[in-house]
Amino acid sequence: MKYPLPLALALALFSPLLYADECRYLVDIPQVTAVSGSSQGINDAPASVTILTREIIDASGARTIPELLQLVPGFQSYRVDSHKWGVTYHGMADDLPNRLLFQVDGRSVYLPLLSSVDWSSLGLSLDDIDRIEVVRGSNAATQGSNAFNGSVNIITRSALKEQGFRASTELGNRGARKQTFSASDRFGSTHFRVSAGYQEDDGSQDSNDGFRDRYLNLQLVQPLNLRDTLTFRAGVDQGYIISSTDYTHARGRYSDKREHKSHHLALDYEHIYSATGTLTLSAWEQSVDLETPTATDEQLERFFGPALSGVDLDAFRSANSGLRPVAEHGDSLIRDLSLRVSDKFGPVSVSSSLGWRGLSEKSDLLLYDGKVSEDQWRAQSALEWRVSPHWTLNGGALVEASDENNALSLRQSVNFKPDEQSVIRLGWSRSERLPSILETNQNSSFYLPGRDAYLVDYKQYESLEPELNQTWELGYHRRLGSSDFIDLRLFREKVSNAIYGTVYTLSESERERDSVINNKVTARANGAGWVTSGIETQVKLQLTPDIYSLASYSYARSSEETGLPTYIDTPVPEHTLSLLLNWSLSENMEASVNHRYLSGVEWLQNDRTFTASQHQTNLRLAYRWPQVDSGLETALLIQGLGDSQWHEFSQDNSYHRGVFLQLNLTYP
Amino acid sequence: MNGTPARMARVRPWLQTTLLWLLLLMPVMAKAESPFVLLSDSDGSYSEMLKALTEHHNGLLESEVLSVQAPSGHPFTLAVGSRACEATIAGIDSDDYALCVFLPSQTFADLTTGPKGQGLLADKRLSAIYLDQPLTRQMLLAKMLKPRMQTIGTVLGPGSDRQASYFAAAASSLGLTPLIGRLQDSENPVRELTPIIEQSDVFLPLPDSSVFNRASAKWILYLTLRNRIPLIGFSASYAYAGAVVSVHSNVEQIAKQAMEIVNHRGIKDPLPAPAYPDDFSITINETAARNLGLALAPSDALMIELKRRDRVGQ
Repeated sequence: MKYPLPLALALALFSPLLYADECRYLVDIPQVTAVSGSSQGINDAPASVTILTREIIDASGARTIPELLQLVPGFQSYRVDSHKWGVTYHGMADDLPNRLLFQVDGRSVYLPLLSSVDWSSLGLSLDDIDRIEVVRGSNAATQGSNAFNGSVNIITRSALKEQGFRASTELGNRGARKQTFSASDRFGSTHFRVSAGYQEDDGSQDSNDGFRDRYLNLQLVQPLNLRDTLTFRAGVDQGYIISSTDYTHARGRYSDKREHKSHHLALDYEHIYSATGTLTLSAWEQSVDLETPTATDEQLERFFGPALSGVDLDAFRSANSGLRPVAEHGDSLIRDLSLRVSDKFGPVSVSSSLGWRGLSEKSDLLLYDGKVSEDQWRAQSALEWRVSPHWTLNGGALVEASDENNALSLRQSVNFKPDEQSVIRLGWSRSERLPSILETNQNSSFYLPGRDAYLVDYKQYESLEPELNQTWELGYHRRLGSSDFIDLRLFREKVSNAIYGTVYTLSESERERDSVINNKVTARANGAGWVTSGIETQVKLQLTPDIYSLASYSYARSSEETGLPTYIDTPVPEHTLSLLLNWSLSENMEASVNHRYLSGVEWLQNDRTFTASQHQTNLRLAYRWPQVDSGLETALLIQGLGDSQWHEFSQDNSYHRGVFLQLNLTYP
Repeated sequence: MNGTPARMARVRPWLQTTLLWLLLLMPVMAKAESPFVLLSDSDGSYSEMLKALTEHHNGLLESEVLSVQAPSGHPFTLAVGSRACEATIAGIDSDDYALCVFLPSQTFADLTTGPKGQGLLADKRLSAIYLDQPLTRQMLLAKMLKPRMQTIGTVLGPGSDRQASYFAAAASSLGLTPLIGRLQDSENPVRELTPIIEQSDVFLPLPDSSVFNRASAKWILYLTLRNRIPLIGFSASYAYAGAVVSVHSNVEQIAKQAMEIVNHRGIKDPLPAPAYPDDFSITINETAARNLGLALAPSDALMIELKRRDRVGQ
């Protein structure tokens, strides 16, 4: 057989087959997870991933996002107040845990002003959520800032997926009322989804720490042409919670009303530039304004004690605007811009991004100068190389630069797939967390007019460095049938250079220079460390055609602890268990039971903050009315089916059984 | 000299027997000759195809990836992929044979429209086993999903525009009304797709260029779900992405069919007519099926029934 010379090259350049070969059949169709509900990609993922689907969300009996996260192996969520939640992975947390990345549709909702997430001002109800994707462990490090121990991405319902409306109302004890409404449709080629909600309750009957919240969200999806799509999201939220700040023994705990106003705007532009490549440009802005009242005379005297003796309180007030017993006060404005390119070159998939984030934080209580701004830059890249049908290598890097620090996070893993259903994964990661703007800049100083000097309660005299988490993990994931699976993770996480609260002793020269009357101030320092190791598992099984279960269990132990308060013995709960059982009793009736067990854990706040080992059970009974074509469901939810009273976070916080009646209508 | 005829008489039966055996064995010896495998590329699917071909062949296969220096001098070439097939047809000698595999039927038709291709087909020196499924097979599957369906929709991109008549003919042969939309890169997919999808009982996307497939899939998946219309995919990837069901042939099935031809023909035997894959797989996305309230039989049962209907149809 004779071939004309450079035939192949000529064919490649001029062939009409350029767009008509077999590649059209072999191209990877991007998963539209909202449609497919597929966990196909999990076997190639570089980390342990838990997906809380809509089905699980409905069955869980949860009323808030932190409660839902109790279904994730190794996750703990606890109520600091009735409406102030802490969410952490493997314990080691206080009232404002700060080592997880939380995102809503890819937008970080981490609040630098608090170094944590304010769950009350997210402007989101469970009904708005399509699914929650959780990456467990520091292999999430390269997903973005603060993904130190893991990341959680809350994906809301897409305007493209649905049309019609949903409405729900809920009544419960302690004055609980909730109404949500959402509608999806299209004008021309623009799909939209609007959702709104209102809720309130009176809080715990012992603390009366009630709340109120209302929100409005809008989502628009506009295709410009076949390859270009614009997605716009916006939302506002307004309300209040009764929040507390727990100071030292001498000062005690203060509770008061904390009002919040927040908004967000986000614009994503997606361009499919080739059979394998996608470019995404994202810009978002979010603002959270927290407002707490100023302190009363009684609170001031209790807080400052003898330091205020002889001080004219009126003059003290006029010299210090930030006299507030509840510390969560201030404005936070974040703007973020990122450009991401994802492509595939043969067996290698690459996704890289560049991003900028501008932070502007204001607080007359937490930041003595009132305002701090910071620019953060980041470059991220992730690579997946399918070496063979059985072997996949993953690597990733994230470089972050802020005004004061740089951080480098790396991850590598090798996935071995002995068959199409299973994967064994060995992973290593090195994750760095930049100190938050609050940790770096907190300054709670009070001017004493009569003495022309300052009482410094909290000030960061020494600069802080990034925390470091080095993790080894061995994971196993096996799909069983279409939606069942077993997931195992053995891990060893070594955290070093961790930031912890300490007391800083001022030198004479520092006191003279800053005119400070006290010689000890609260501050933060690097130097804490610990090793957490253990095993966690999640198993979903369809036990019978009518019954399925989702079981999550984590066993973890900490060791080699340094820099932790001396009263802490168990900063990591040894056992965390959740068991969800869902039973379709008939075509229209469904029952689900969600039982949770948490072994004893001490929180890092102070020696009074701990949770004794506890069991808690939720029961949900739902009935769909067959007479209503469009979809009408009545549900009874009981939270705390076993013990009618329990404590969370602190023995001061007691919570009682909640009974709720829900009515959900969907059309069509 | 007198002894010679007698000796010849004694030897002749042996010679005749030997000659007869040689004649009898010749076709067998001819069958043992391996084809030369020309691959369009060296990456995943092509190397998987080579591996599957080797497994189904009685011996090792000589192979090469298509490059600037194209190979020559092979009496029987097994071309894997469109580019390898195109190169093979362009350079084929007058007495050589070629079997193209792992390429779409439409592409093979394009490659053989010229006099050379038509001549090779007429001489039965060129054949093919396609990668894609016959449209009727996919439509039969659609009818199994929704027996009362009356309309079937599709959208044609710039590269699949010519398939409109095939689609319409296949639909009509099964008593279905075809609804065919057209979509260009510059057009708004929602505006073009929505009217077709809204009127369709089942939607069947046709493969176009890779970038068109990828860009259009998102809109097709969302809009069919939104309108609660079952979607039949043309690849396993489509089912993983959210199509209710996909019918497709994998490399193993195509390689097996190709090597059955190779292993059972003599050097100069004519090749069979180009054909779609006999064997195929069905991938079901149970989440997507549940979303649409479709109760589907297991994929094995669907496959058996589809093969039965396929045979009856043929």
